[in-house]
Amino acid sequence: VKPVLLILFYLLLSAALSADEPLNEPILPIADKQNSDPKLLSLGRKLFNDKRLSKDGSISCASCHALNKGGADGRTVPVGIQQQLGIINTPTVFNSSLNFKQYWDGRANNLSDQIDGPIQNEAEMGSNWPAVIAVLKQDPNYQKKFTQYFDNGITITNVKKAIVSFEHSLITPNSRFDLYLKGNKKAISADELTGYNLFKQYGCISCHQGMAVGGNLFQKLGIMKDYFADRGNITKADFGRFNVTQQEADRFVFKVPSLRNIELTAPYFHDGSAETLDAAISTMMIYQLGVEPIKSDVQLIAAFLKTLTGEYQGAGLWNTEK
Amino acid sequence: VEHRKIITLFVSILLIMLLAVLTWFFVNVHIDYQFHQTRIEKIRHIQQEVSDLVRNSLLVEKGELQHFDDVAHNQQKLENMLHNIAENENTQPLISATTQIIATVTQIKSSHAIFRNSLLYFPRGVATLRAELVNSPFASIIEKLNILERDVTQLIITNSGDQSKNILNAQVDAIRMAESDLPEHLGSSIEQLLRHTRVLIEHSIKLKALNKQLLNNNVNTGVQQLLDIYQNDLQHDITEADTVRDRFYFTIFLLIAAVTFIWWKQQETKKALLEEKISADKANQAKSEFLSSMSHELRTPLNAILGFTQLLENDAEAPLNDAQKVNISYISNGGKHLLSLINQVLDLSTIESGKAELSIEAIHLSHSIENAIQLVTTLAKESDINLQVGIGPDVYIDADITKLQQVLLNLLSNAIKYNEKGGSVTIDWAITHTGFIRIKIHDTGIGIAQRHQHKVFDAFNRLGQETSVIEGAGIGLVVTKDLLELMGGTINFESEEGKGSTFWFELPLTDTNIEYSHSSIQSAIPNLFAHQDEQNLTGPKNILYVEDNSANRKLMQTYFDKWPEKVNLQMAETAEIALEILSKKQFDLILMDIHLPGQSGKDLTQMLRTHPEFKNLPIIAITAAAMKNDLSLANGLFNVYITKPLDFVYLTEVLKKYL
Repeated sequence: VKPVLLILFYLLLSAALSADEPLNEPILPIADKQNSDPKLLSLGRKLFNDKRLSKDGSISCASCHALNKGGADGRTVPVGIQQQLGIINTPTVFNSSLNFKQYWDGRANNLSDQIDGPIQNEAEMGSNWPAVIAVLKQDPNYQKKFTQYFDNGITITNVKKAIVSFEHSLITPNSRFDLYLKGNKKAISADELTGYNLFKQYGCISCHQGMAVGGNLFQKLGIMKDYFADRGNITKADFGRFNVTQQEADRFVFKVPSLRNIELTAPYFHDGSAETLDAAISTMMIYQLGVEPIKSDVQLIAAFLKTLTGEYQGAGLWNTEK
Repeated sequence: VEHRKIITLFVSILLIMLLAVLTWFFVNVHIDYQFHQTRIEKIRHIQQEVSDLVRNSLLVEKGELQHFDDVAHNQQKLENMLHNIAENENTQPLISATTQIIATVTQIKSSHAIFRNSLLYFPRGVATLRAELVNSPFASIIEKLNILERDVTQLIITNSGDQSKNILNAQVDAIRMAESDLPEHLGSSIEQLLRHTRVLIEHSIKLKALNKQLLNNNVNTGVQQLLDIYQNDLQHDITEADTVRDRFYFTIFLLIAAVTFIWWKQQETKKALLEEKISADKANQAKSEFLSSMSHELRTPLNAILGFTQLLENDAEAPLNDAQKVNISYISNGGKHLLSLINQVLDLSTIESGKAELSIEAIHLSHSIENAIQLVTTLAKESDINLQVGIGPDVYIDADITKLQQVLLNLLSNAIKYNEKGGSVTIDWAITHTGFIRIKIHDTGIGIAQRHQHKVFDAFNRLGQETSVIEGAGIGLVVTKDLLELMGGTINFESEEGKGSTFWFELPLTDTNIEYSHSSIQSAIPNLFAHQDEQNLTGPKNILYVEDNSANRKLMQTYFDKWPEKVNLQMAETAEIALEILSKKQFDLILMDIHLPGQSGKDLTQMLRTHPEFKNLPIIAITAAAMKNDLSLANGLFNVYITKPLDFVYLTEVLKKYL
């Protein structure tokens, strides 16, 4: 009798232990840690929301990277100063620190370099650094805060440091899928799990993997079928990484975007052409995976993708307006 | 000494500068060394990161890593590292090799994703198609599918490359030919599968090539090349540091040697200076002794000259006629002048040896000026100079009366001497706002040339008057200045050549205004026995005069001849003779010369004082040894000390007291 009981006990113990054991999956949970200095971070947040950083004072970083809109603007293309339209869909600022490059074409190696873009883009904030610094220097509040943190006060580098510090805090851990990955098998439903398995079987996982579920490689749009021929009306922005490298092989190549919080960041793709998640998944299946989309599978995959919505500052982003 | 000091200073500064330069070099080499070491570390980090990148990339391909996060992370880090190294011909191979490998990995990721995706699809696609074809009229295609499946599997397992590519492409083409009359859904399924097959073929070959690139990368070569150069630089730094350090130590050694040498030299100089000082002191002592003996030698004959002159002038029994008076006055004046010169020399040496003694008291200034004026009136008349005493406040000043007289006489006589016939000398005085009295002596004389003015107070400098008829030793003003400074005063002058000079001196005013009585200067020798005539008529006084100089003996004899009944003067040429006389006869008083041949007057006196008989006998020293040293030596031995040349008025007063 005793050996049987021992074996039974052992089995129960191992089951109990394995319950919370992290899973070995191609997607990694977001590490919930924040290294930013709170003071610098709050200075960065202030700058991020400050419209004076644009030429006419009408637009801040947050105008297009609205934290209540999944870190983006919900538009096909952004609207800059004087209602100018942008040329490419706004990527989310959430988890941007997890990307190995910034922008759709990856032309910035890091967040600090990325900031130069929107500030100086005529169709976005339309300003320049000397103007920005001059504006900030007029504000005694900024003077005080910068002097508190930096020896040399308000400089381009320090403004960037503050904003980057804030951006590093914009990670969204504790999505239901992350809880599942950490070992909580009940965190996602059976359908969602089926969706994840389909995600892997179809090969979505080949590109959308890692902590950000993407964001760590470039890929051509239209591997199995010519996306742009079908869509038509090709613009310079469609050339993607080609605009950076001038290599023919990089034409129509883009950074694979992260799928974290994907349900909040419609419309999708660099051209914002997909209004819904289902449409985006279908397009991906046709042009990237070379399979005919099956509606039920698409819906299951969409269900899985919605488990990737995480928390910001302890509150679930799933509560934000969609 | 100055020369040597400058050299040692120069050498020290040179060495310290050298030390500073070497320190600077050393710091520079150290900075270089650190820079070169950091450079090597950077390169090693790149090498490590590249190796990690290659490993992680291979792990992804083997399926051991299911995501690209690590690879992407390696890529990002490498890009930052490349950003932080300067591009030049040395680093260029490494930079391009690393950039190449990053590009390769970027392609691998993309290619791997595509390949993996088609690999997932392929068996599923084959299975689906096969199922659709089985019961269709196109079952024959299944055979071709099987071959395709087998060969694709083969391609993937063996990764055999180009040959397989051709075979497979042929198969794909064959299947495509067969599908021409297929129904649409079958056709598109086959097309889909064939597209994936082509992707598999293409990307398996591409991945193979990329992996080859990955493994045969030139990063290690680049790193090695760079390390060779950098290590060389580092070695160079170390060698240079060693050299600089050696030089540094050598310089420190030199510096220590120099400092030691300087110290040693200084000790030597100190010793030499000490010796110099000792010899200078000796020389000074010798000078003092010389001056002392000179004054003795000069005063002795002068005593005779002035003494007899006085006697001649004052001899009532045989008065001089007018011509004789004039002649005698020349002798008297010449002697007096010579005496004043001797006194000046003596004063100077006394003051300069710091042995001058002052007795500062409240002095009625106008009296002193009056006295001085009286003394120079004759001189002024002779030179046809109009002597004017200006007005000034009636004050008392703190000074030594004799020294003040000396100062006034000096300045007044200068003003008269260095004047022109018909010129004038004016003296006036006023209180300064600083509480001093300023006495001005203005003359309309020849003045002092601008070029001589800075030498006015230099000893033995007669300012170009050396060849003139005006008498002088060139020390009067030096003594004057020294005396004034001793009394806490100052002296200065203004002069214009040909127009005259104004000398002024300042002395402190006396705080309280008390009346002081002043004895007038007496010129006539009083009667020695004026009072005694009535009171006591004791017999004649026995006086012994010990003196070797016959002229002086004669002078004294003549003086006492005024009272032949009252004084019995006896003379002794030497101490020995004096002793003999003393042993035979009693005396009321002894006049003792100090400098005697053989036993000195001082020694004789000392001997006499040991005998009770002579213990209280008045002994008056009469000597030309007017140096203070002599006076201090004789202190307590003699009752009175009288210096030659004899002032008979004074002598008379002294004698009155002791007889």
